[in-house]
Amino acid sequence: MEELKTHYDYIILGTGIQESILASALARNNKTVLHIDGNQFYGGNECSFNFSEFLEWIMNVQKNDNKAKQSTTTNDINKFYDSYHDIDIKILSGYDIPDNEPEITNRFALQNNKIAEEFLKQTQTSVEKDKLALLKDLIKDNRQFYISLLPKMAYSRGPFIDLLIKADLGNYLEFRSMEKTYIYNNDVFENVPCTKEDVFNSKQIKVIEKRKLMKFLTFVMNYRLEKESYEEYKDKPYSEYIKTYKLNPELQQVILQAINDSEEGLEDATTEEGLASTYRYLKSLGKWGNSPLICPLYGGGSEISQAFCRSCAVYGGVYMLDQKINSLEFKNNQYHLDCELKFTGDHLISSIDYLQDQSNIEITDYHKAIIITDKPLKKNIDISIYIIPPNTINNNKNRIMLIQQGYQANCCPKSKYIIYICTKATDTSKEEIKNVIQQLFEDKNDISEKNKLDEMEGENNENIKKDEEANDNNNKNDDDDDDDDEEEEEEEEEEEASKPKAYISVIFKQSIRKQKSLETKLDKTTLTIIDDMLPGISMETPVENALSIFRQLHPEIEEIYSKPQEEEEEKEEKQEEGQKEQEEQITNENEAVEEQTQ
Amino acid sequence: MSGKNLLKAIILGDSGVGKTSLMNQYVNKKFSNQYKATIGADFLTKEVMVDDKLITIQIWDTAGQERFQSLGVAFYRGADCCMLVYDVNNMKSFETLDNWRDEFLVQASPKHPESFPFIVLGNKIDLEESKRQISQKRAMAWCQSKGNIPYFETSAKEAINVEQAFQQIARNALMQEADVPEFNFPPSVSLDAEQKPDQGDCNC
Repeated sequence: MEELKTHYDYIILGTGIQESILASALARNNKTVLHIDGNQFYGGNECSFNFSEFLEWIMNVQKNDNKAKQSTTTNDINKFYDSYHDIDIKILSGYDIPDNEPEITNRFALQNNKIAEEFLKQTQTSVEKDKLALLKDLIKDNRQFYISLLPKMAYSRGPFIDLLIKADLGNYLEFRSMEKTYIYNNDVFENVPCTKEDVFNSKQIKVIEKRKLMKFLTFVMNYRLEKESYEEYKDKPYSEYIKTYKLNPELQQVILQAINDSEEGLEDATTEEGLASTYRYLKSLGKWGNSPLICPLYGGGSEISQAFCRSCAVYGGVYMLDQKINSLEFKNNQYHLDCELKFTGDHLISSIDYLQDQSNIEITDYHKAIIITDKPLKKNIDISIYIIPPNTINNNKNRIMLIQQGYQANCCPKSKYIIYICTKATDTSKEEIKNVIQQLFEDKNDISEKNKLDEMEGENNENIKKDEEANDNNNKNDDDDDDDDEEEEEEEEEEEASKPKAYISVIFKQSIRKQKSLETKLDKTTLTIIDDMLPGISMETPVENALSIFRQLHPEIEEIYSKPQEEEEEKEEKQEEGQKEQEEQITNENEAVEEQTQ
Repeated sequence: MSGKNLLKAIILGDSGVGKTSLMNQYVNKKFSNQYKATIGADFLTKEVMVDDKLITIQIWDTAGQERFQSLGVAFYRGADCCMLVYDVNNMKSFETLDNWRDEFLVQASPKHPESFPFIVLGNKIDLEESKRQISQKRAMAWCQSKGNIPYFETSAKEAINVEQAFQQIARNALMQEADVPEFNFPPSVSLDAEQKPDQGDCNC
């Protein structure tokens, strides 16, 4: 068996999306790569968990938070858990306890049930039977859950998709179109109009507004050719520029809050930033369906990481997960890493999780929630986005974004949905998230509800019939109406009948870390620190960031993923010859290392 | 029998037992003595006739990620069958078969773990008999205890039993009941469809 190399061109710490893209790009260009993660899983802060892992993650965050309060320090370099704080767990009460539980013999199932019990013991004041029954029911489908700490989608036209195609990773990843985006207005989620069809079909928008909106959207598609028309607003707020189109306040909100991929909406953006953001969104429409975004299946982040990591491994990259990093030093122009084995590397690329000196980083906190429900927020809609603009639920000050993924995103078993909530952390953000959850979800299971529901359905059907008749009459008068509207009305009525139940809702604060200044970054030219990914919906910025780091490291390489096959093989052979000589020298060292570890 | 005509086979086992060599022998009829820790090999495909039916087998290699147990769940997903390989001259590689089988069942979590089509290959039988550490009897006993997994003794170098083993796994995989999806989902987005030129325009 081949001896493992102990020296690498690059040691990469952390398997987040950006580190993984770099690992793949470097290996494809004949650099030797050792890729290490301190966690058992791929993806770093973009990881996704199955249900039992999710429960374990929650318990670990709680433990780590308590530890931090007692200021006990650990000597593990991996600071993954330090970015998650103040975790609150709420479990639906009143869940039906089965009369006789079937006996479980499968050891994996037994293990999972133990985790559920342990979880309740740690996070709740007492182990209530209904809650345990609920958790056990959810954990039965443990591996059908992919719960993501940083859910992401991709613009159908943009650098991420371009990169996947160039790297030929289409085989590893699957996507499905995001179906719809909604914006909260007058206590309901309204469909966000962004395509021609949406605008024309919308019942909420008056004809005259439709024209104005179309004028604006058409302009944005060509805005770069018409610089003079927004020149004077360039550095002024985007919101002011939009006013010049005389759109009504609702449509202004749609543009500022919903048709973009920014973390906080475009309320504070300059006209130039805002136009660029709206353009990125509109540009992606129509490629794959009526939505600009495609959603990676099976939880996204860690899938994407695994695709790039596999492509790195296929080109010789060495992978070690679950590594406790004992020490990491820079001496004699090399990085010395001590984990399961000892290694040296010429360059170090490190996720901010493994940065020992955390004094030079800037932290932005986000309040987030992860909720598992029995129903979607909008009937028959699976993968979707919901925007709650400021001042719409209990005078919320922040823009709050919800992402829903269900069975169609392969993130859940059938008839379960995951809803992710995210907003920038402020004094009020946690309260606001709680209000949103209270407004949109049910937190207890009403046993008499089932009977009620049946009755209501009966009534509803009658109502719908009446509505249809009424609508038929309306249609004769109003040309703009069409069938879609009827369906929407039905949906709204049924949704009011019963809200989705929040089986489990978890609120926490997540720190997004970034290096403070460029100067410190260039301290050592052989060290690259990767900032955390922001929680905005798309993946464009981090991908661009990773690619620009690659170009800085290797300005001589023009095309990362395109090289003639023959040349590649030749290089490999040459490398191997060189390696053989080196290996002989290294073998002795290797044996020493192996003895030590044994 | 299922209507499937593309099978994903994954090949597991300790580093150095000859996984890549077996694949290469089967697909390319090539063997190289030089150990090359699986560089550039992603998956190999081969068309094969099983009972008058043309099947494409896609064989996924571990790409070295097995060395430190760092194969992620994405690698296992959607596997139709799994080949467990050990080296008959290496005791440890036989002893870890249990772990590999468990790891597969956990990560791939197939619907019917009891009847999932595994196959065990004892490779490198071309080496001299004195080096051999695991007898055929012992290997077969293990296979039997795990629900009668078919067992083959192979040599990737001499092309012994390689063809037969792959043929068998393809047949067993086809015998599995197809998991028919109950819903008709919108098709997932295919990045291959990408090749047509971008119009650069939107629907607006």
